[in-house]
Amino acid sequence: MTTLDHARAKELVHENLRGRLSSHEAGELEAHLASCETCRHFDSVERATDDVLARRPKHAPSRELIAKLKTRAGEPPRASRRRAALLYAGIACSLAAAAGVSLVVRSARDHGDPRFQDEAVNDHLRILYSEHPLDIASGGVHQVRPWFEGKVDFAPMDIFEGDDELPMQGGAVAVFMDRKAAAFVYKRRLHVVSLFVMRKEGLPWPRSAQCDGCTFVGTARGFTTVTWSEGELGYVLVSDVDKNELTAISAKMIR
Amino acid sequence: MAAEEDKGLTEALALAEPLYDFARYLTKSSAEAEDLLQETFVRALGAYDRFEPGSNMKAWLFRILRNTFLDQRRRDKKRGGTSELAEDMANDDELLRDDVEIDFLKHVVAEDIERALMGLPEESRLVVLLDFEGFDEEEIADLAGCARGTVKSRLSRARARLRASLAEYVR
Repeated sequence: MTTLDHARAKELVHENLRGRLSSHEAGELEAHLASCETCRHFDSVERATDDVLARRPKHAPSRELIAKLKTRAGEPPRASRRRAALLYAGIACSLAAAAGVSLVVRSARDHGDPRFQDEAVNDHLRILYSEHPLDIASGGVHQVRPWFEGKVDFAPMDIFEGDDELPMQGGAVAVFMDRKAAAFVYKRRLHVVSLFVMRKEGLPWPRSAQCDGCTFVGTARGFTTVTWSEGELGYVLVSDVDKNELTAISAKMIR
Repeated sequence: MAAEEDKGLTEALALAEPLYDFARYLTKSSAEAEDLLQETFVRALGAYDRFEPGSNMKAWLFRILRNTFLDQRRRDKKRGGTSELAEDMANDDELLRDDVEIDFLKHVVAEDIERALMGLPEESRLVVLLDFEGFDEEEIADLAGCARGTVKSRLSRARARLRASLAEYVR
């Protein structure tokens, strides 16, 4: 048994879930959990409770409400429905523009292929619910990216290495429709963010994400997807973080 | 609008989704949540000159939303409206046992999770949501207007009560 007592260990379990422990504290906790069944069970209970909270219905404000909020701040009143949608999209664009990235958000007519969105969400869910979601745990992008050599038929280059707000957790080989994809997994607070990279030829790629640097932002079953392409490769980012946040995250990843 | 305010507005609008979700769970009503979010933005824009650039915009907006909600509650009370009963979790010790079962949690559906969350006393719902939103104990204490120690015990009891409610639903 380690020097950590049960009461302190239980306090650290929750802080660990929130990513607030120093490496020393995390090490102490890990050692304690390895030798204490009671605290290990407590850790499982807390994780299961977080999983439940992550699955709660998320309520999003209507586009009309977003337009009203903008109007209150001095935008022209009585924005039409279409104008409201554009304003909403504009928020995402302005976030991306701040990062120096040119984005094209989907037009009202481009809803993308629903099978494509479904597949992206399914692959993300496989990562969320798999007992062993990662084939390689992250020691950083320089460890994860070479690991894919020989496992996929392309080289996933220039992959975002992660930062303090979005640390890379690791990678895995996924199957996206009819082909293998390299999955890079990141964590945003408590949310998992998956980036799937694959050859895009022959896939029903969204029209508005066909050109380099253009993106398609879609939603399916409570998840947001951001799709873009660079040369022969296609990229699909999936998470349950809100649409604007995921768009801002994608801006970090697009060259 | 000054460039700084413009930037602030963009940042604030990017937070509209988590703010609305929080408001929706606080008020239990989409109409009230819409009103609450609008009022929050009106107050935030009115007080923007008091916001310190570089400080935590998210915590600032959540605090304004929480205070706006409390003000509305007070007004409703004066008008004779109903409010939730004060929290009574004195008898929840049984829920904090170490041997609680968790397998059933894998099978609960979103609808039941929402029902269980909405069934928590208001202050408990508040700390569970703020904690899950990533606020730490000190920030939650500030937002909820209570001591840090209260946040800790309230949070563990609220999460335990949430599990207990869900257990009843799957029985």
